[in-house]
Amino acid sequence: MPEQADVAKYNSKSDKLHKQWKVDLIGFAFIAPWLIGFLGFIIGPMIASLYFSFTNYDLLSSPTWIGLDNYINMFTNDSRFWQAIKVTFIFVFGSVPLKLAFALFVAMLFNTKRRGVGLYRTLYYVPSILGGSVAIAVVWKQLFGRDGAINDILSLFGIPSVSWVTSPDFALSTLIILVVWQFGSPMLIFLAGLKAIPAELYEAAAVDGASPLHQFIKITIPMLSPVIFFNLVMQTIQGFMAFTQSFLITEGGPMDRTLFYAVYLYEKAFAHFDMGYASALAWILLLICGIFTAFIFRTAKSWVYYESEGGK
Amino acid sequence: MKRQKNLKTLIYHGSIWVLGLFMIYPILWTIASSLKPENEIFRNAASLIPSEIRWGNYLQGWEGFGDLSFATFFINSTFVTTMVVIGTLLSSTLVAFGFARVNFRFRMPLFVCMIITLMLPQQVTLIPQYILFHKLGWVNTYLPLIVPAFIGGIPFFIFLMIQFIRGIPRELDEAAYMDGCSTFGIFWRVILPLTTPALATVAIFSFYWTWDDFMTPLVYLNDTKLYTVALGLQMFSDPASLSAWGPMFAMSVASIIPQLLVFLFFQKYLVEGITAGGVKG
Amino acid sequence: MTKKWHYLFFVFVMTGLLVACSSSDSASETDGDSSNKVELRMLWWGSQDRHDRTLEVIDLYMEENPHVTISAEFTGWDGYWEKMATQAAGGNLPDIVQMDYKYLAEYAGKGLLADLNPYVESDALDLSDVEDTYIDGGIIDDKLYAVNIGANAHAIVVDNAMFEEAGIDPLEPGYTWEELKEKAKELSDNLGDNVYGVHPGAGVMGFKHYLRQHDQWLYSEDGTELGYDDDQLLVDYLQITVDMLKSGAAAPPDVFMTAGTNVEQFPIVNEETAIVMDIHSNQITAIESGAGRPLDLMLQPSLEGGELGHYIKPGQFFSVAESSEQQEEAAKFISFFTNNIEANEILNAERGVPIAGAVREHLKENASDAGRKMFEYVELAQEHSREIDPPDPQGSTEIESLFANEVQDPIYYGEVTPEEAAENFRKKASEILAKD
Repeated sequence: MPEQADVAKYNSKSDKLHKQWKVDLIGFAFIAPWLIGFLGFIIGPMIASLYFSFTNYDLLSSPTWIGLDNYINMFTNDSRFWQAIKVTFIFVFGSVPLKLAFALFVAMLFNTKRRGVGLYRTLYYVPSILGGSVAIAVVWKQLFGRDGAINDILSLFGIPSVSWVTSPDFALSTLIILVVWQFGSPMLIFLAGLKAIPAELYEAAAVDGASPLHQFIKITIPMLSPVIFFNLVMQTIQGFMAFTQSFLITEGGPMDRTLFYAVYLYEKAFAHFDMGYASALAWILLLICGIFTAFIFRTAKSWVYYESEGGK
Repeated sequence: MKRQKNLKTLIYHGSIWVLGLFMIYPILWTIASSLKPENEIFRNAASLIPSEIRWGNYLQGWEGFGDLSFATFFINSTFVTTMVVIGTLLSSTLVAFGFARVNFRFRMPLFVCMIITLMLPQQVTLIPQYILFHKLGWVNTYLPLIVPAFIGGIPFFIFLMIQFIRGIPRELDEAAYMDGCSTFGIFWRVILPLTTPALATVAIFSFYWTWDDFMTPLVYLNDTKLYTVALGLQMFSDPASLSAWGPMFAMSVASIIPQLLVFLFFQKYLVEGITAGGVKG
Repeated sequence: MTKKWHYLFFVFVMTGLLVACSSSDSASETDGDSSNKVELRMLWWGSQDRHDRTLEVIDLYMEENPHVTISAEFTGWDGYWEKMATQAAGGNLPDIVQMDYKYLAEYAGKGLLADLNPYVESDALDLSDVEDTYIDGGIIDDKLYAVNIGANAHAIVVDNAMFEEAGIDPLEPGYTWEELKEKAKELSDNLGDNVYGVHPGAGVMGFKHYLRQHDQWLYSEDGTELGYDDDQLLVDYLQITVDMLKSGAAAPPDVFMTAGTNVEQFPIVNEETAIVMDIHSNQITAIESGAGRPLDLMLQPSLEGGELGHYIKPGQFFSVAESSEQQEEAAKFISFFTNNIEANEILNAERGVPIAGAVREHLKENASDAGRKMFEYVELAQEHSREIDPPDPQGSTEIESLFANEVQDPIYYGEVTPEEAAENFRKKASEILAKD
């Protein structure tokens, strides 16, 4: 930061203050678009939802204050809430590491100048484009259904046919595979990150005789750490908020085995007309997400390396 | 030596193709289904080869509903998505630079606020937000879809840009400052060119998320002439009655094409990026 | 800071303001000139076929009534209820909305729907050609909140060709639950591997029917508790499915769960079962089209010495929003939709059997095969009907998910006994109902 670098020159207190005031102005000018949006369109609805969480609000008539009842109910008298928590945790811890590992692996594979690599990137990105469309739900049910292609392949190895998507034992794992398979967005971010690593670093290491594995650990991982950090934070948050996969494909079933937290919340809000309770659920989710994110941010100091900050 | 290299190349391409087949199976299935006669889609679901090719599905799909064809939906989606991509690129780079490079007061608390907004499920802010936009008279216009992008509505991208900007050495800023560059000049001449790959990523994602988004247009658009492709796609089906699956799959395939084109266009910036600009160079 | 930055920021803010202003201008313009012009908004869900037909009818109406403009807002099924709930919460509900039986009590109970009786009295809404069985479903506390726009009846689907192939006589109206079990078993035995007699139903729909056969109902009159006292009823009902699953008469859940509610993916489409339990009569068109071969509708099994279980169910309704300023005009349109022969030729009973007698007669003569089957079936069901129970109370959607998750699915997978399921259901359902 130039301003910061110059601070040393200004020893008198008033100068410093004057300087900080100028820096503030510049900073707020840059973040103004977000700040306007945040104050104008985000914070209001957020506070409203916090208020709803202390009310009985059925969407269609006005909310009535009931204090902490929603929260108390949730923790003491709602087995589906605990089921949703359980499912969501399994989903997050099952899918996020796998997805990130896979995305990084494929990104490294494609970070070359070989011929056809552009085409490959496209091929591998396609599943993510299909995203949450109506088509993907039908396709996925078909693929993992009883007569689907997965069973055709497994039968080659003598594994009996099961309807994976609707089996109480396998439904959740099937959804985990689905999101791992849609690894396109972290892959692209990794690719962009890999591109930002100066080739000279590798050349120098190669001259020193470092093995590819050594290069990976000593150069790729640290240089990529801001991006790994980003992907980890975002995938974790998105994992907790996951909705579409369960909603479109399994509808939370069978027997709530794939009841994602967000699906339960949605059901409460729009199918059972209990927006007050849904809002309370949402704020608990925010709390859980917040704890995990804060934890990742805390650990970041020890493993995330910023070129701009001299590797602290 | 050369033979060994050839073998390596063969293994590389071979394994990518095998895995790639699994990657694109669903799209092959969708294409196959878009060409099948209606009663074959689920009867003969595992087969990728239609018994007869039905181009009619594309025709029937394109015709849409009443006198509302998919051409309208595509034009609408293209407009909305282009605006959102422009808005997102502009706002997220500016805001990210502010957070990453300017040491203003309240920077951390505001950053935390931004991250927190990512954690509240949209479902519970939908209603108050709707009421807000309704009061502004924005319902049934594209404003609720587009304006948030210009005012940094998607913190995901801001955070992404922050991470990339933090990876750029500060010596570059300082050098530019010594040369008489203003803060904005540093942002515009130094940082932006160096974040090309990240910008390409932002463009691809914001394009594809907006193109695919279903809930926002569903809630805010009433006039069917304003509908987007994602809305059009789900208007073919109703689980309780006779759904037009063939046309639905046909239009799903059509809807993927612009997304692929955008991907192909931007991905070359992913590749160029720094190596062309030269961080150390 | 440079001037450049100032400019950029300025431009930013100005574009924002300009866009915002121009939009509110255009919004207020449209409110202006409305002396005798009527503008109605109408919202429905459906698939391509329904959209095309409905739009055509709207055009026809606007031609005949040039002072009326109807703006059509339509979507698929997914997302319909969020859109509606959001609009209701925002006080922006369209004048005419397509309504489902499941949600009628929720919306009517919250004062969002208009009572249409005054418009029936003023002849804006002409129901003179409609029998009471077709109207009753839309009445709550003597107020007409919704007009049935397509009647349905609870049905099962049978593939008589598969019965013949297995050498089994087809089911005849009046057959019993025992007979169903036996025939389904024989079908499974005679039709070879991986083909089953019945795609079972242990859902709330079938249970309601079963309760009706015992002259009981799921909900008490005031909707604050369960309407039946003896858990043995639920146990017996579930036992039927358990028996059929155990004997191999019914397909295992693996076979039929993938399809979910999507009838075109039901296993009968691939000749994997010969019978499907618990569907609505208008779904025959979709199942036949998916299967590509003729199938038939049949009544629900009857209970020996029991009551009649069937009733005429409103497939969908039109309701008018309480907030609408044009309730009378909306009622007139619904009247046209119900009674006009030409309009119904276009609609072709896609939403179910029309409720006006003359329209029904007219369409029956010209119906397609699947359509004719539906008409004939609803007539048959009407002969085996008694009056419909009141619409489900508030909280019923929650009861239905409870039933699906903690009764129906665990029974399919054999994870609970009928006794456990019945007890658990009573406990949790009572809590939910007591809450409202």
